[in-house]
Amino acid sequence: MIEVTKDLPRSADGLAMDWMEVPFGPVFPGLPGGLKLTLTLDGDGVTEGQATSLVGMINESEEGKEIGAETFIERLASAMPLASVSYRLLACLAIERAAGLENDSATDQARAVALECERIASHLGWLAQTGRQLGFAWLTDRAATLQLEIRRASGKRLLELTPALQALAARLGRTPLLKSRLKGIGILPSGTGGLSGPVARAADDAGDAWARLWQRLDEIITSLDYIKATGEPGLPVLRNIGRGSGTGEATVETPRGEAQLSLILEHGQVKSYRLDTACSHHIGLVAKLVEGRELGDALVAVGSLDLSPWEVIS
Amino acid sequence: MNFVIVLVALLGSVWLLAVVEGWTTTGRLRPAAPLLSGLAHLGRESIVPRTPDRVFFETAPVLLLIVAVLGAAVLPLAPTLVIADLATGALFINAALAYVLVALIMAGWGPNGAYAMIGGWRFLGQLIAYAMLIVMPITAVAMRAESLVTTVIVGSQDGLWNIVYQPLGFVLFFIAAMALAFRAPFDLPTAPGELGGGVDAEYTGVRLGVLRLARLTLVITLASATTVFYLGGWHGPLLPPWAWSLIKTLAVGVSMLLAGRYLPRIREADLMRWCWTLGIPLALLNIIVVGLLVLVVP
Repeated sequence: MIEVTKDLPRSADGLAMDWMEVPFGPVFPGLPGGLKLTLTLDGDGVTEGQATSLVGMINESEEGKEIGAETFIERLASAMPLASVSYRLLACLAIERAAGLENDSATDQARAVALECERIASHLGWLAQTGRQLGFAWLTDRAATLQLEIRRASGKRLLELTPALQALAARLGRTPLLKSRLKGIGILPSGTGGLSGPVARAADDAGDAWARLWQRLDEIITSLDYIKATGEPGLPVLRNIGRGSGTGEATVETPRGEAQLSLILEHGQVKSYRLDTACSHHIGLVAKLVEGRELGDALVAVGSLDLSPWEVIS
Repeated sequence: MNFVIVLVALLGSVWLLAVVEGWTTTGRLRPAAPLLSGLAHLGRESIVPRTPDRVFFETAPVLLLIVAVLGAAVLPLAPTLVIADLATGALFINAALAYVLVALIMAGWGPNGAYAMIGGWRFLGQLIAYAMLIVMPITAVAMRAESLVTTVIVGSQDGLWNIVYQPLGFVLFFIAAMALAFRAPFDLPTAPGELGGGVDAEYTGVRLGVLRLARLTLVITLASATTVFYLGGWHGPLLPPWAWSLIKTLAVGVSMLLAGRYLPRIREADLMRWCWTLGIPLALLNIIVVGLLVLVVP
């Protein structure tokens, strides 16, 4: 026996075990499509892990190739299918600022409402995904149904959905086992930098998966209150920039955190751009979150970050 | 003859349970779906993973099915409608169901895949959690009946079912039965969101069909055991005894399916901790209470 195990790596409990490197994704029921998680398993425990995106965007425009402003907006929005409104808005703002356009309060309000609608839908999508990961079929069905309704809803219909969303939050608060499944999971080491969005805001609380769940539920209610006070959503559409030139920068608080875009506009064409997203930073936290955890807890921790592989910029 | 009748009842119950399972998943009530799904499994390619342990891989689904049917063999549908009315019937169920672990370890080890293997070993941990909570409530049931014969156990509930006589035992047994049947929220060996199906992950075609049939049969067997031990078996007004047994068994089976929909999967460590620090003391308390009742109440 000693001969067999003498060169094997040792677990935390001192036992010699065969360690396995196991891929989870890019197509895996408990994780977003396109995310590849590679975990080194020591039995049911994770000794190390890392995540990579197989569908992330490249952060450079092709050398010397200019893109029309409208085309750029469409490309960016379609490259981020989980937050297309946010990135459409980001691109519109950056281009309009580069072209020297002044802010228009009515347009800004309608855009902000659209952004908040997407935030609600995105958080519901995360809830559905979490339900799938936890084997919580009711949550998956309910959150997915509400997400579809939110995506199709007008401002008035959104407000009619408020009681259903509040009931969902109340129900989750009463669900047995959910707290014990999420509490204390996915806590980041103190002083971890590069956080933004719900992950950062939940870090002010307990900073675990349970806190992230409640942060997102609170944001759903806050977004609804904002929509109630503001009005109808309006999909971000580029205003007339003519053949404007200049440098523009914009920041948008997407459902997953802050996204920044800076670009150079020449005669109405995007010459170059640089994009920075929250997920590009959050994906680097995976290694810290999974190390030493049980497999199920490690996957919950990764899931609680709400990583969108499309928003990981390489 | 009894063998054929019980087998037909078992298959019919499995079919009804599959229809309900489909309804809870898709929202549509499709009576033909289980049959079509079964035929589809027969028609699909049955892929064998690379370098499997062929004996374990092939045997596991069949063993699980045999274990479930063996457990049902000592559970009566009516006073004379039982395949084997053994003197040690209640003990025999425990012995038969112990092989669920063997089947799942084989299903986990056989395909030579990480997800399946972790799922198989997870069930070993799960067994350590639930095993005592199957045995100890049955002990209290046998104490009241003063017998291990399942027909006598049902007879002992004439007038007062065990669910009323020993409600604590019922709750513990029901939870442990769900863990034994690895239904949500105790589906740690399969855990689609964590292991992509776990012990099911590498099975396809007819082998997967047998595995699914075995899982549903196991649920029916455990629901039938719950009926026999706690819900008065065939006792009930108006309808014939076998009908009451079937109705109660299906009601328990459906509640096992539905309970899992509204709960997230339990953590393995929590399952172990709660079973040993809370479940076993409560099971002991149940035995003491039942013992006192048996001694005090005529």
